[in-house]
Order: sequence, then structure tokens, then C-alpha cells
Amino acid sequence: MAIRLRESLWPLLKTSKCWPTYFVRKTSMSAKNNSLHKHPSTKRSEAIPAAKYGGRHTATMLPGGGIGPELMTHVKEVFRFAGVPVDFETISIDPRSTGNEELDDVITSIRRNGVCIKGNIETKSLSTGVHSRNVVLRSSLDLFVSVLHCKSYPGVVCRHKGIDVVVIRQNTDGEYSMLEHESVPGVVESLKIITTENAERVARYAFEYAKDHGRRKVTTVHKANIMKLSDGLFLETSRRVAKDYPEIDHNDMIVDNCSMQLVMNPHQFDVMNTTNLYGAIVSNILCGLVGGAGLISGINYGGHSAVFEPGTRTTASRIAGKNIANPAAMLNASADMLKHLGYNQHASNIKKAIELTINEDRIHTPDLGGTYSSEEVVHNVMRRIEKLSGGGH
Amino acid sequence: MAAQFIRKVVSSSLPLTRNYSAEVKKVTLIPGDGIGPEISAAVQKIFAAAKVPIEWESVDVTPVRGPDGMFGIPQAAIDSVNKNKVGLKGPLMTPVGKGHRSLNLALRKEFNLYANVRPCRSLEGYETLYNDVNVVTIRENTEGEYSGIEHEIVDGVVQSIKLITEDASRRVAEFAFKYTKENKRSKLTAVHKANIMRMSDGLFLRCCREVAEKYPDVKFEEKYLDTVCLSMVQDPSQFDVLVMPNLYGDILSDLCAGLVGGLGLTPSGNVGLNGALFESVHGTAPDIAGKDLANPTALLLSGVMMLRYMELNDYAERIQTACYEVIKEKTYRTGDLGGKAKCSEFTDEICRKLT
Repeated sequence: MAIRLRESLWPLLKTSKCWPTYFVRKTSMSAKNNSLHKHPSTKRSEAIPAAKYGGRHTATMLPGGGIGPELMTHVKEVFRFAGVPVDFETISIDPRSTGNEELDDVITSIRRNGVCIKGNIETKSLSTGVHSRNVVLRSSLDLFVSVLHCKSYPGVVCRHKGIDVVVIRQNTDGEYSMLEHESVPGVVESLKIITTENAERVARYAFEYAKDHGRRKVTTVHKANIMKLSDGLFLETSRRVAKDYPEIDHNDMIVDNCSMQLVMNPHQFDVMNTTNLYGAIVSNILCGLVGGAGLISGINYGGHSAVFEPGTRTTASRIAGKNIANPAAMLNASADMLKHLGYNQHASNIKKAIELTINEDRIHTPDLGGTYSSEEVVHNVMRRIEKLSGGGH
Repeated sequence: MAAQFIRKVVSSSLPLTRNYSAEVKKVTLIPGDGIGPEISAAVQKIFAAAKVPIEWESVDVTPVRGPDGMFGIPQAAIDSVNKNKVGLKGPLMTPVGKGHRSLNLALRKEFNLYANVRPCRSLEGYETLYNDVNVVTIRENTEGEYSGIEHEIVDGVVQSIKLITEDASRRVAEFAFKYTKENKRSKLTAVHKANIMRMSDGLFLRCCREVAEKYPDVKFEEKYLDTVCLSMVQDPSQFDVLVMPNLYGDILSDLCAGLVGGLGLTPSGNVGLNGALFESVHGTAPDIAGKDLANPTALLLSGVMMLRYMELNDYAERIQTACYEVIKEKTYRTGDLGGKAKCSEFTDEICRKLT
């Protein structure tokens, strides 16, 4: 009888929360999450379903430094006003800390929630051993591609009009590998790593994007005449992937010629496929041409998560706390996040409201040449959302 | 005359490589390929019209096979530049394949040219969307990302090494501050990405800061590369002189050239340990070579930079003014500026203004 009792109770015990293996599994999962170095196993982690409880999504929010916190309050304000069913899990990271425990928490949270909206995280520690937190975040979550859609706003006065370029940038490799050493006092070497796998993934993403969005041309930006092996590998890989998409034109351009062409004639570009550093340069040039750092939002995609942020990744500490930062970039990023989660109506309402505010109402913050404050812009956006959604929910 | 001679000796603060006499100076001329020969001829004609006391020594840098079987610059060319210490170079074509290194890089290595100076100024009369550009980019020319050290670690993973040394950074920082002071410019901005590449760009920044302490009257600031790109295309007037490592310098100097109208109008100078080489940075344009359609402005303005380096400031000023005036008047403009004049007509008009 004792044996029968044991047999019937055994499966129950095994699946209960008190069984030792339950705890063992849990801790080993957190050990995987703790590895901040690029380890092959981090890429192959299991997909965690998006955190949706009671019909409301949860998203991680990283205010970061500089103008981050104030812009995040604007996002929360707009979401609450529009009745968006998204809750935020806010995590702050102390810029002066040297350890990475807070970053571990952030990474676990993003893995759990699946989406994150973030400002630029400051790393104020002067020690050279501490890596930039933004870069560590991207490489741990394997956010291998960053998409930046630079589109002119007709209401913003710029030298070039009608720009519409998408920059697809490799987000983890390249010059941002953070592998540096001082071999001899006074001589520092920094390694730039290019891998076929990452180059192929980003090239394929670029061509798939072009195909899905009806774009005609992909331009690869490189410097393979000087860095023959590394950028040569990137270029070769994109040429190889281009053969699989014969309906899309592919050409390549050297990065210094590209920056010159961007300034003289940005309309010749459609989709750009770049490595990490060149992507940073090209996206900043394009954001400048379109009207500044406060307008465009960027999306980082990875294995199982997506991180949304303002396109130019600045902290803008000079204008922090003065209520003059342009909230359009962060609000655009929040709208992108809603689209990713499937709330298409809310996303298009917010985007349309921002467009109308900038183009028709011309409520511009100082960086666009206007005199309004951030709050006034946000109030106008909310007013527009109310009109678009029919004056009530 | 004696007073003039003494003033010249006293005011000059340059090393012993400078010759103080008022004799004719010899300068090496490398005509280059494609449109090189015709624009070099144009420049020589203009200098003769202005009666500049310079004697040209033309050399050919087409690589020849050396005794060890490797292709290299002919010894005659190397000797010439080492002797004269100053050179003017037209556009060179690097043949693809055939085991050549880039010829431009080879020249740079050979003559130890450590700093590249590119002044970009909006030309009156040739309007672009930017009218208030007056920026000088100074770029470290020997190391950084262009060190050429690359390896394939495993199949599918390649690494490229970016080398930053204290000596080179300090050298270019010293040059940048000296240039800013001598040319009476107010602000020097160091461009870097030390938030990501903390050790390498950090070292570069540290050297700049150390040198900045020796020049208290020059305003020094540091900016991230992203911010500079963003601000430059919105408002170029906020920048004065920029100093940066190799790759950023390459990109930013071409960006600034694009703001003023392209590579066909920008001069460029390379300063080395024992001499300087001034060049035009555009390509060889083989499609218009020999047709008298080329625009010699870039090489001419590089020649003007060379004259300033050689302390022949009066001649430099006259030739520069003549050139700007002809471009402003719009009657004699070459094809790339939107006009229909030939290279020879443009050259003759400048000569006419000088005599």
C-alpha cells in the first residue's frame, strides 16, 4: 500500500513547486541571463511569450539620462490619455555604478516582456573596463539590426525636401565590439569584428524589408578599398544575398563618398545597408538633413525582443530639465512599439497626431526653430488624438 | 631691402628646412593620371603669370618593379621630394589588382605625412544649399582604422585592428593647435567616439587635452562624432577647426567638401615630418581626360595652400583672389560648375586678372 501511495503521489510531487529540480531549472535559466558576454547560447534561448496579462501588455521602460526621464513622462501621459492598454515597468540605471547588476535586471525584464522603450543610458564611469551600457544591452539581447526610417516632415523648414531613406544598420558587430587593449604603453589597439553570419542576417533583413515595403534599391555602405578583409567580407556577403532578390537593385558606395552624396543629393538613396559605425554616421547625417535629433525614431530588432528608441541615441544633457526637448522622436518610438504589439489603430492615431502637430499646427520646439515647450507639443498631440479617435473612447 | 630681409628672418618661426633667401625655390610636381597633366599645366601657367619664384621639377610616380620584385615608387621621385621638401600632386590612379598597394597610401608612408589639412570654404558665386561654411578639417593620416592590419580568425569571422598611438596623436594635436593659432582661428574641436571606443579614442582625447593646456588662447572643445555629423548638416557655421583620427577625418572632410560643392573645388595638404605634399583630392576623371574640359580649381587652391606653407603669402593671396573672382563672375566656368568654358579659357581668364 505504501508503494501504491508512493506511485500515485510521485508524479504530483515531481511537478510541484517544492521539488528540487524545479529550483535547479530556475537558477540555471538565470545563469544564462546573467552572461553579458556574447555567448552562442544567448542566441538560442527559448522564445518567451509576450507578457500580456488581463488584456494589457507590459513593456519595459528605460528612461536613461539627460532628456530621457522627461520624455518618458510625456509618453506615459499620452498613453493614459489615449487609453492604450500598455503598462510600463520602469527601471533606472545609475550612471555612476561600475557593476552590471542593474543591467542584468533590465535584460531579464526585456526578455520577459518582449518590448522595451528606452532613452540613452549614460555611462559616467571613467574606468576603461566599464563598457557602454547601451552596447552591452544590444549585444546581450542580440539586437542585430537597427531600422531607422528618415522621412522629411513638410512642416519643418530644411534645405532638402522630400527625403525618404531607410537605414538598416548592423547593430552588434563591427567597431562596437568593445575589444580593446593596450599592447605597449602608448599604443592602443581596438578590434573591429565582422562576421559572415551577422553580415548575412542584416543584408537579408534589408532586402526583405525592401521587398515588403515596395522599395526599389538597396545601397551597401562600406570602406572595402582600405579595409579589404573586413568590409570586403561585408560587401561580398551583401552582394551574395542580392542575387536572391533580382527584382531589387543593389549598388554599393564607399562611406566617404556616401556622406558627400547624402549632403549633395539625398534623394538618390532608398534603403541603405550599413555596418555599425557607418550606420551611426549615415543616420546622424540623415537626421540632421531632416530637421534634427528630435524627430526620427529607431527600432532595434533581435531574436525575440524589440527595443524602441529615438533615432539619434543622444542624451542631450544640455537641454535636460528645461522643457524644450522635442518629444516627437520618443512619441514616434512609442507609436512604433504599439504597431509592433498589434495596436494598429492607437499607433496610427499617435503618428498622425504628431504629423498634424508638426505640419499643420506648426507647434515647434526650439530645435525646429519654434518657441513652444515640450508640454505644449504634447498637449497638442493629445488634442489631435482626441479628434482622430472621435472625441471619446 | 635689408629691413625686409631682417623682418622675414625674425617673423619666421619655422624649422631649419625653410630657406630664407629670396631665390627661386624648387618644388616637385607630380602631374598624375587622367586629367592630371592638363590641370598641372594650367597651374604652372597661372603661377608663371603671377611671376611666382618657383621652379617646377616634374616627376613620374608610376610604380616600377624594384630589385626585390615588389612594385614601388621610383627612387628618382623619392629623392626629388626629399630634396625639395615641398610637392604638388595631381590625381593618381591606383591600378586594381596586380599586387599594388594604394599609391596614395604608399606616398603617405614614404614621406611620413602625418596630418591632412582640408579647408572648406563656401565659394561666392557657386551657390550650394550651404552658404556659410568655413571649416578646416585636420585629420591624422598614418594610423587609426587605416592601419591595414587584418586577419581572418576563423572561417567567417574577420578582425581589423584600429591602432592609436600616443606619439601620432600628440603630433597631430600639436599641429592642429599650431595651425589654429597661426591662421588666427578661434576654436578647435576634437571629434571622437570615446563613449564606445574608450581606450583608443580616449587616448587620442587625452593627448589633445594635454596639448590644449599649452595653448590657452585657443578655445578647445570635444564632441562626439554623431553630434558633429548632425550639427554639421544643420548649421556648419558653428564649427571652426576640427581635429580627429583617420577614419572620422576621411568621412568628415568629404562631408564638408560636399557642403561647398564637391571634391572638384577643395584643396588639400599633407604635412609631414620633413616636408609637405599638396594635392587635389578628386579622381582622375578618365572620361574627360585630354578634352580640355577639366576644372583646375582644386589643384590651383592646393597650390595656393602650398605657397602659404612656403611663406609666399602675397602671391598666394593674389592668385586666390583672382580665382575666386573668376568663379564669382560666372562667365568663364567649366562644365562641373555648370558653365561651358574650357579649361584653357578659365586659365587664361585668371592669368589676365593677374597681369
